[in-house]
Amino acid sequence: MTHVFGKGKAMKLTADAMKKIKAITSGEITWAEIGGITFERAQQIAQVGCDFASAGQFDEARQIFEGLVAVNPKDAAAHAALGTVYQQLGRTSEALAEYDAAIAIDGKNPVARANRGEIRIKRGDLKGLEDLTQAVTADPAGELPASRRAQALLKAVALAAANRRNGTA
Amino acid sequence: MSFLGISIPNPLDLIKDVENVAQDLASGNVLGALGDVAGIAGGLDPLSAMVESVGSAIGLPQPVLDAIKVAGGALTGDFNAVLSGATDGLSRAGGKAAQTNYAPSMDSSAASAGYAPPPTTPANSELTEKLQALQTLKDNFTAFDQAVPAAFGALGNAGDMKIGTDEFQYISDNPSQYSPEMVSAARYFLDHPDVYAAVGISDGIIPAEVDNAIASTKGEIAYSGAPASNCDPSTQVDSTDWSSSQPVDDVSGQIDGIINNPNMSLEDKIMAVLMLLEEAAQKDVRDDMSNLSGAQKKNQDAVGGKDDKAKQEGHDDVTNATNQLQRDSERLNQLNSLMSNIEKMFNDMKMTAIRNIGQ
Repeated sequence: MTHVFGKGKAMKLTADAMKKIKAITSGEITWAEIGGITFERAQQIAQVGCDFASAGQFDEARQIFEGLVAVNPKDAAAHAALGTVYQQLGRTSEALAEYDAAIAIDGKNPVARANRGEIRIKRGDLKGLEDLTQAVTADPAGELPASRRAQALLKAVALAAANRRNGTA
Repeated sequence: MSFLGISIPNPLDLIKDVENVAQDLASGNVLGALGDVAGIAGGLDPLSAMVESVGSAIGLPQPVLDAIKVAGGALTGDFNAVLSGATDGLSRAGGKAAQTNYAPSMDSSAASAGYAPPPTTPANSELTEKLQALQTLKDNFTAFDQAVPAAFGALGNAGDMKIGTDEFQYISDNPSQYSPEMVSAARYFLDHPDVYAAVGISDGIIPAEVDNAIASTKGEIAYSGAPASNCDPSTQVDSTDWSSSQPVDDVSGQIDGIINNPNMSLEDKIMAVLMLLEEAAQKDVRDDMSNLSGAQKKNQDAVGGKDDKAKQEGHDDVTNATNQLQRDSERLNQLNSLMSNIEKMFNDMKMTAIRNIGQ
């Protein structure tokens, strides 16, 4: 039994309660699970964030996706979406951190792969090519704009290289 | 004709080629098109081996590997220029960078990890059953309406576009004549006179009422799946009185109460649990200060004595207690900072919502 004191109050936490606190702080359970937020609900919230982003209201989109990541750090798609918003806001290092987090959870996330790949390539980092190819293989039909862009970028790089080798660029 | 420079008699410039690439992408044959590059890939560069090994390890298709090899081949010279040309061209060919999409994994269990499971309460099942019955009624309205044969005379009212309990009873009593769905729906309405009363008008059910009831039931199902959110200030706070001085044993299970309280919003739950964590951290700091004080007193006593081992132990105890106090103080500071940031985030989100309403 753990005693908790503060501001003239007194309370006692059960072992089970302490276990739950530890589970929260260690990431075993998320705020979404505690708050009853379902995946379907998260998708609805994310759609609002995407709408804000497509309307150019990136600060509002940032708040929504930061909130989603806070309530469920296990959501790779939310990390990736937050990364795109940071990227649009010019916060590239934070964007990369979110893409890294997304890929650590879901190595095939095409949004994170495609955008991280593009940033890396613009920095002259060859690892970007691997990211782009992963984005292409994760979504070969090009259903997502990010993977379509990855396909285009990959081909453009290949094309540029071929042209350069043949003295046409 | 290949779109890649080498096989085109009069090669296009880079931008034009990239636009062609984009068109080719639109055809959907991306990997096949990349395969065109393979013919010029052989023995180009020292990166090939690396690409091959990395690519094989991650299971890349061969055409993609070949494409990378070609790209790598350009590294013999000015790689940045190649990339720059490619990305510049892409800005015209490949759409907007960093477009925001929420793309969860195709694996539903992975996608929903960390989220609460969908509600499967009895109330929800009942609503689903109600919706199925209403949908069956809508889809088979004419069949329901004509269920009671004309031989039943006024009882039947077949074809009057109104359905009453007589029709439901007839279908229920003659299941072999109707589909199982119709029989289930008829029995549902007979078993749930409250639903029948809510859907029907004074002398029976009409199509418009069924449509309204379906829309209403869908709304109820959606609402039942949403997390509890109550903006009434009188119900936002847990039954626990945070400001009162309660006996220690009376507040056992506070966290359970917070976490399981359906009347608290998620924001309230987060802040309430963080408050508990903060208070626990404050308590730890106070304990550390008390321990440090004890260690210092013990050390002073030891310093005045002649026992070297006791002196060393006293010194170590002070050092350990000081370190523990520093660690716990840092934890408390981090917690305070976290609470402040989260509170600001919630406020920002609320302000955004208010601003949007005002627009």
